[in-house]
Amino acid sequence: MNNQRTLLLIIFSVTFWLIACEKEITIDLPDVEDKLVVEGKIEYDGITNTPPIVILTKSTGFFEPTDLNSLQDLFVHDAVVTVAVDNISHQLTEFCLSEMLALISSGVIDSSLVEDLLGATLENLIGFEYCLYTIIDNSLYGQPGKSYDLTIVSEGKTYTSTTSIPPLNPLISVWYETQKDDTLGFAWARMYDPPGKGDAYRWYARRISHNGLGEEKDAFFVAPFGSSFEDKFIDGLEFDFAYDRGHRPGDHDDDPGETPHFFKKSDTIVIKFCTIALPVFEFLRIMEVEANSNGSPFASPSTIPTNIDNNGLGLWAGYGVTYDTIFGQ
Amino acid sequence: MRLLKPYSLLLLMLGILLIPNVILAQKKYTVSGYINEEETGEDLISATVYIKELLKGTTTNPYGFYSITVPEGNYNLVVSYLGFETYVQEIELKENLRVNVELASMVITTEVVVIEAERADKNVNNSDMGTIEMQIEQIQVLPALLGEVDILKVIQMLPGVQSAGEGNSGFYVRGGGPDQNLILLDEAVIYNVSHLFGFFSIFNADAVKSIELIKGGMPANYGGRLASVLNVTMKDGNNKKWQVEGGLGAISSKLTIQGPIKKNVSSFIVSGRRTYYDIFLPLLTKNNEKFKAFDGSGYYFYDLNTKINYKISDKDRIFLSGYFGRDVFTYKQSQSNFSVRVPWGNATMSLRWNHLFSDKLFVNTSLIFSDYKFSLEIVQNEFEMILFSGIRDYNAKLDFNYYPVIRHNIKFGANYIYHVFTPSSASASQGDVEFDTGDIIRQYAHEGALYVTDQFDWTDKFQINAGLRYSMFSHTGPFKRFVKDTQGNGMDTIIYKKNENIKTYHGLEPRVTLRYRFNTKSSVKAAYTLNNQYVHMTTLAGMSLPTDVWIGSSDIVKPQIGTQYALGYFRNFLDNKYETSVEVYYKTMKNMIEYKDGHLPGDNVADNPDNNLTFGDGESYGVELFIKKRMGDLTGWIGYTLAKTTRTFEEINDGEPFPTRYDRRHDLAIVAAYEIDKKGKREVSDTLKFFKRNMKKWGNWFRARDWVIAGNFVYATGDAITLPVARYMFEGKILNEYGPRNSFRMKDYHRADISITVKGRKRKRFQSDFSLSIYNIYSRANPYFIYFKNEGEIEEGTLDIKAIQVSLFPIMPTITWHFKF
Repeated sequence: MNNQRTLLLIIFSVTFWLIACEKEITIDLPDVEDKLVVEGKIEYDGITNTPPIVILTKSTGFFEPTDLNSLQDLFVHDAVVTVAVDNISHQLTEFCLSEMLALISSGVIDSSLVEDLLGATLENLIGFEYCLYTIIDNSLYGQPGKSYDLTIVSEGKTYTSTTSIPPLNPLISVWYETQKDDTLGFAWARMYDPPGKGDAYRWYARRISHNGLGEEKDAFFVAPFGSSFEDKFIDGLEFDFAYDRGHRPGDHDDDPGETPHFFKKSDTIVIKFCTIALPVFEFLRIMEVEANSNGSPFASPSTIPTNIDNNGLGLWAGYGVTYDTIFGQ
Repeated sequence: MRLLKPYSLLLLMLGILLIPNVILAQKKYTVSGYINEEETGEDLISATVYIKELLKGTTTNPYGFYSITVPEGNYNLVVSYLGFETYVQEIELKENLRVNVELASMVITTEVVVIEAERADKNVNNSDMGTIEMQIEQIQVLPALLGEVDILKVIQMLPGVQSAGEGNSGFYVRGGGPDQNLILLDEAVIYNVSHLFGFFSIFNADAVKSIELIKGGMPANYGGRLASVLNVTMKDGNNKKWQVEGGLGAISSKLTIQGPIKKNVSSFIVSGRRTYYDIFLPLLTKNNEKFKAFDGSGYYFYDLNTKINYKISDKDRIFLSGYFGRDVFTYKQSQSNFSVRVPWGNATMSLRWNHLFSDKLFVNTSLIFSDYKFSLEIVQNEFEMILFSGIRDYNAKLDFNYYPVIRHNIKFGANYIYHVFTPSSASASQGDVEFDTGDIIRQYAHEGALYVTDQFDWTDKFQINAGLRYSMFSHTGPFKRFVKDTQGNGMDTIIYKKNENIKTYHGLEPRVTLRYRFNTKSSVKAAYTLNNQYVHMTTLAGMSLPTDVWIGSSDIVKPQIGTQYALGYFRNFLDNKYETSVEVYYKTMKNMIEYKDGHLPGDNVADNPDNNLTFGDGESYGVELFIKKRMGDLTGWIGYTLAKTTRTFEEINDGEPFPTRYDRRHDLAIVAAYEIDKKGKREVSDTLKFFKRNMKKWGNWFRARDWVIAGNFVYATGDAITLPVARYMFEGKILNEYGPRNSFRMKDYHRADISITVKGRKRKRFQSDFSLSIYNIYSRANPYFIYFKNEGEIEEGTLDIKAIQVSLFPIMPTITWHFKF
């Protein structure tokens, strides 16, 4: 139903395509103070012990430069980041890309996990000092039903947040269904939502079959538009649903031979299906709409909610993860 | 007991008003009757009727009725009306008289351009403030977007009225919200006036007789809205002879048929209009790659206006009128089995009965039905979803006009409305599985009002128009209330039984206008009004859309309360050829509604929409200048408004006041129509003949027709919009952090349009008119909205963020053809 606004936009543009014209303009925007942006998550998938990962950046003026050096400058270093669970506090350590590559090669952390979090392939980031905070000694990892308190002390300010990992809810089954031209289609799943409103979910998919270069088609899990949903309308129901193929953020061109939004019949797709807390859902759905609307006349600009206090931005999220695989035919 | 108080107050007031009738026990008689148009028999609304010797009079009511009671004597009764010959009749008043008058249209000038309506100094003389009447003929010669004559776009050029944006029919009055305008078509409330996302209004100019806009000093016989009343009256139908008229335009065609059922007794009118877009689009998309993206889409709208009236006797008359209109958008993508259908529209029906109890007491009883519906139907393979919303009213009204003596014009009456609101509801299914979209929770409410108002000439110089309205609103069951905590999490559900009272609001609404006349040329007027509004429109976007949802007041939503103070100076020049006025106003609005931040349309489903609202107040003040030339070959007006409008909501913009999107500091409109007179036509035709001999034919052709050249220029401060001031990255996406609400201004809006109307020969039975309308003659790229384009790859450091301004209409000439026989 979030698509209603998009739909109106389609209707509108269909109606006025002939006459509308566009031109680039310059806009003077006031200078604003930078804010701390938190992108943190802690997962539990019942298979491996996954440590929390927190990326700290700063917001920047709207028209500020976007070259690599400027982006790199946005990372917040030397913050004191702690995560507390069961009244025990654990301090996270900052790692930048060069150190992370070393950790990946020594098998301490998984490359796709990092790529997943960075929203980019490591290959693309070589030479770019990407930094994150985590724990690698296995002293802290996500567990379902537990609540995690995040505290960040940076540049004299203290920010806090809390999240939890809800119990897992595995999908009943997953399959592929052709939609177009015999070979293109969507990923389908059947799920059961336990009675009692307040459950929320997030869907990711990753194609692990190889492309022409012999690499996996997706280096990490991709969340399609509208990736999260709550059980307001599906409470206590067992039903089928489908997702199209998501677009890798920041990646404007699709790979050659692929059709946007569609999976191929031959794709082997791993589905990452997560349970999330309601505040996480609230953030994600508005974040996705906002990232897609960009000034449409139908969108009233919405402030993206945050669960970071003290005027911070972003999200500290817990995910209860299950995996399923659709094998290519 | 609490309820008794307002009733007794009303009675008391009525009693006081009637006293003069008792104490002034001179011998007085009444002259009364109906004023009609000679050619068609149409009632003339607001025609001026006065006694020449006393320089006192009245205007006809919405059914053309007037009544004047004066001491016995011989008088001249004068009747005048815009574009009609003034009628004078000697009367010997020694008994009650019935004088029905049929006014003939002026022959010397055409009926088209005369902006002359009433006793010439009506503007200065009456106590109306912020009231403007317009006739459809005035509007029909003005330039129109795509040649589609739209009364609402003309209304927007009046001072104090702001347009809702490029090409949009929506309007905002003195800083009020879009839901604060009471828009009536033959007394039926129109809840959504737009076709095609607001680019055209639902009013078909061919079926409309007159328009009245009240933007300040709202009299007590109107209520339920804070900002304005737009009263649109449909034609009754020609009761003398059959008449067919129609037109071909760029986007639609229309046809109107009217005629007598029984001459002078009963007549009818049927008028229809439909667009062509859906017929031509497939031809465009068929063989054209560029338009491929639009393949499968279709859009049309249509309107149907009908009216029948019947004079049962000299004392009784009934009217039955109806409107039905729909917009339908369809989209089908057969490849992915995806289809969308979006129909929306209004339907109204008004049954009215006029009855004369006596020469002094006129009553109208109305039964009115109005309905607005929207639905969105999406089908993809086995997935089906329908989202729908609407409002339906059953309305009964009783309005008395009482004319005890010439110094008093009393109106009183009662109104009851039964509202049924259907806020956003949905049903969705995937194959055999029905999704739980909740029950359809309708909201049922009773709205009632009693009013009395008296326009009273205290002295020759001092006139008071005092009124009092008592209104009430009651939300009743069945209803299901989802109780939420402050975080918006569901806590409980309360079920109310049928007819169970959930919440009742009521209040008194005093309305006072005073006029002090210095002389026949100038006067000063002051007004104070208090209005309650019990129904509210929730709107998602910055503009009015068919998805806007109407809701009633509830235990969560309080009635909006508006208070307005206005002061004006009115002065006419050069024998009332020029009317000028300066009005200042100050307005406060309480309990206004907005959606909370981050609200999405689906949130209303399986919830009460008012759970997603936040509440605040509004303030608006300004000064309006108006100069109007009423007579001559050149007529028109200049309107200028300097104004400021803000809103303050605790949960929006950190509780700081912010301007509304349509807060326009400056708003200027210049409207002019020029009719080429005989001399002018002769000069043009002589010039044509002079140039070349064979131009003689053209010269004669030119002379044989009436020519009207009209133009307008509008200038307005740019819309206030919210823009991002900062950005940040999250999961590789660029997210915006917005600056204060509506703190940025788009570029100023200005535009000039021109039109030429050629009227066919009058004497011929078949009259054919052409008009060329050029919209935006200097092709100004006015900003419609601004968006940001992100190009390049952020990972490669090549990301480029650009601000893009979208403009809608460049210069657009259109030719329309109109015929009549």
